[in-house]
Amino acid sequence: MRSKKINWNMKALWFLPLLLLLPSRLAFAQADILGEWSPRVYNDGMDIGDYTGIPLNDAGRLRAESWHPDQIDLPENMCRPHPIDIGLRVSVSQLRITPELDPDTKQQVGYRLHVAWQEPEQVIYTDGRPHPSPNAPHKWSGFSTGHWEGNTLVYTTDHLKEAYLTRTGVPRSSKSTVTTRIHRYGNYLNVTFIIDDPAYLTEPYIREYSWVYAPDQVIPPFPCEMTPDGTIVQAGTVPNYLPGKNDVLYDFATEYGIPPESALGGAETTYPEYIKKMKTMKVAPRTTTEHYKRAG
Amino acid sequence: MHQADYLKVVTTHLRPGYLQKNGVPYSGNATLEEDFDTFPDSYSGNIWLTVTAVVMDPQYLIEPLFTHAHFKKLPDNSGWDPTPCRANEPR
Repeated sequence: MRSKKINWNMKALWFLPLLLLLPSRLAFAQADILGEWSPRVYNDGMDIGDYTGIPLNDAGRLRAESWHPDQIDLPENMCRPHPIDIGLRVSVSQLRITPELDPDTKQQVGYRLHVAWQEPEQVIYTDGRPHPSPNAPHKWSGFSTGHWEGNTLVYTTDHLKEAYLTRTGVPRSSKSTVTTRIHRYGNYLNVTFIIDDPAYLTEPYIREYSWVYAPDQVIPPFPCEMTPDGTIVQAGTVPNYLPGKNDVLYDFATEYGIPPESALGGAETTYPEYIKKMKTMKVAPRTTTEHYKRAG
Repeated sequence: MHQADYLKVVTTHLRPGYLQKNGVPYSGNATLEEDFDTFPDSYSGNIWLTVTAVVMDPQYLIEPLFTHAHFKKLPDNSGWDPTPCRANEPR
């Protein structure tokens, strides 16, 4: 009788090996993105008046056109960090990805990204925790939660501070939500950003970049020191262009021989039909061989 | 080696050509790797296609060159308007 009971219990445990297989299969579906990654950065969006491909609305364009390159020399801007969504794009962006551990249990609750320039860090929680209240403080790296879709880590970031989309003053508001996809292709890592901004964009703005696995990479510290107010820019002033007064706004379009208004962004300019419209638009004659003013 | 959930294309036996419009070349020894990935964006509802192209050329490059392109899926082919190549039009 007892022997039969034991046999029955043993039969009831037939599925245990399958349970052991379950977590290992999920782990197999995730790529190993941890470690040191060296950027392959080709900067773009460096020219004042180059808002091509950005679905800007009028408010965003007005902010961009009023931006002056000397603003980066204001003391409050000198050590201002970039959020990851632009920091990985425009700066010296050696990248380190480490597991984020719960301080008490030491269980992994997500991933931590560390970028060289200004050393911004972003924690991506993958343990299912909710985003904080809409009234919670906004931070440079926002608040991120994510999950795996096959080999791709997908995460959503909100609670961001206002920042820039480009190095030349195209704004990204604090109302933005950024969807990021980290995908490993062999020894390459691709990061795709999809930026939704109800304040300054009419459609999502997508862009991506690549890194190469670099296990011997050393990311040095990035100390930053502000110079006193008035050292570079006259104290009490904020360099800017008033509306309609930006005299370098069209240099980019003139240099490249494209219609001036086509360089100022907008969702319409991102669709193929716009090519026909461009052919009906006037192009400013090139008046100088001197290169347009470049910022950054 | 990871489980592939994208299309990887490797092209060899290319004729020499240009990497950029300003004359930066690639040689006949170049290898082109393209990774095609498509995914939905649940936040905006768009479906995106991203293409990462990696050019390796032992003759003219000392490291792989990366370029990216991204496409948004449109509901119809209204924007598809291929034009013939004309020698007298700038490109």
